[in-house]
Amino acid sequence: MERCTVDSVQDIRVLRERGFTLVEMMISIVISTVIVAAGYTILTTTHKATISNERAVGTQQNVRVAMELIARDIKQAGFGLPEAPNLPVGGTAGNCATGAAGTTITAIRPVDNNSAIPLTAVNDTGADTISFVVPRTNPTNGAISGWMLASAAPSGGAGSFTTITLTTTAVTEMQNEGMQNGSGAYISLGGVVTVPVTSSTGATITLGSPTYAPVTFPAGTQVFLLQCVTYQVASGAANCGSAGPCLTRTVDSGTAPAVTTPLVDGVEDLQLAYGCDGCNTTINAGVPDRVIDDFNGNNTFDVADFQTNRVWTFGTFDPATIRLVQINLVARQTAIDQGTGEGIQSGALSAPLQISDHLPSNDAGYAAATYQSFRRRLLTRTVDTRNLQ
Amino acid sequence: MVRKVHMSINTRLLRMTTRASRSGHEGFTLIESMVAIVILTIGLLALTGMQSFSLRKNVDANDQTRVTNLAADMLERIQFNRRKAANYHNINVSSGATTCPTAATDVMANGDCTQWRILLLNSNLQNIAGTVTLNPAPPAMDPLGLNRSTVTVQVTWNEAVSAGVTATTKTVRLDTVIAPE
Repeated sequence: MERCTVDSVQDIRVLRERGFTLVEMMISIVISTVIVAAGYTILTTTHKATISNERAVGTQQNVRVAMELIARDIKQAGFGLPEAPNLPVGGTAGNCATGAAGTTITAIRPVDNNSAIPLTAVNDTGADTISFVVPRTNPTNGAISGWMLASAAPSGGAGSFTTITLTTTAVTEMQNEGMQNGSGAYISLGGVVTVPVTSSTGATITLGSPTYAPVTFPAGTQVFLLQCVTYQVASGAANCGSAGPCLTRTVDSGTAPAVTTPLVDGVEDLQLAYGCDGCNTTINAGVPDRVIDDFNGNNTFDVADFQTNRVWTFGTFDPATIRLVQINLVARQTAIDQGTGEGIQSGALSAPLQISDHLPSNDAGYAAATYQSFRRRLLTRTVDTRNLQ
Repeated sequence: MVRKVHMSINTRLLRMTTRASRSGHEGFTLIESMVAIVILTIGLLALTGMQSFSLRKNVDANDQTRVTNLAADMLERIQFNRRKAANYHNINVSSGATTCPTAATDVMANGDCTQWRILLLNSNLQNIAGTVTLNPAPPAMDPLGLNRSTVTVQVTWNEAVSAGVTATTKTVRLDTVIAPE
């Protein structure tokens, strides 16, 4: 009895001061290691996934924005410019000039980065370029929205007018945008009349030819300066501000130097194909009939009737007959993912994506491993050039 | 008998004392730790699930952008051929359907419809289908005396889903008013 009690008390003491055994320690270390390793793996995976996710979002956003910008400008292309070619202009032409430099202007001008590729070749190299004339206004002018007529033209109900008066600093702002005196810059009055500018001082612009309007332009009519803009794909830090490829927009305005702005990051390829009406003199005697010219002569309107820009050299087809523009845009990530892809990862693509007539593997410096390391997004849209008609 | 009772009292005392002494230095039992690990794992798995969910939604967003562009493509084609907009009424294309205007009626509308069908099918989206409807068809004078019609381009497709999940149908619908001049 007595002994038993004493034993119990000793047991209590032993229990209170007992440490971990080696086996317990080892088991607990193993368990903690597993927990920490799992936690760390989840942390790094989450981090990688977040980065991939953000890059994918960025790429999608880039290609969407680029498509919206180009499509919007193509819809405006021309903006009431008199039918080209053979319209003598000076500064506004810039990249829109065709034929002898600076002598004629076209409302839309497809350009190929590599015109050396023969017309018979199936696959083009490099991204395409497009130039067109679009209206420029100034939306950020305080309470005044855009450039406007300060007084009606013609004033006093006269039949014609050669001068117009604009509000406050509008003329100065237009000059800053490149509207030079006598340079042949074109302005548009409310999108109705397009006239060349011969001189501009103070708030007055003198027009190159008298304008006989069927209606009077009231005070407040918007005045637009026509500019030639060029979209093309560039690369390198000097052009893009970052390593990746980008879409740039060049504005040729008057005699001032052209200004090129990197617009959208990550745009790798821009391919354009054009449907025209009345460009091919062998089809319907070159008379426009609201049917896209049937180049392959099969009496149906099909993809082959869209002509890629290689054939749009001056004198081959008149770019003013372009009615539909098919835009293909490809954007890619600006950096390579560290794992966690969508399955479109290195080695998953058996061949590069052929976009319109462009096969990237024909490009100089093409490396399959590099090409396949990027996630890409492709958008296609056909746009009606409603302002050329 | 007496002894047994005494023992049982002692044992109870021992247990009580032990419990009291352990309350300050008590560790977790293996079972407790394992339960905690299981709960933690479930939480972390849910986090991983969020990432894949996010990636999947990204793909959905991209699909939506592509489809919106495809719908806009058709609207622009109708805009070009607006004088014959009536021919585009009731276009219905999918992998199984090719309800297009005949080339004899309108070579442009026929070509647009055929090309659009190919563009839709090339998107590789599940069950993609496109329709065009005009209201009224053909365009008619409205109360304002304008000859026009509301054109509706609608594209439906099934969202990309993982195995075992029922696909939901998505729709992009663009409406515009077209006047055939």
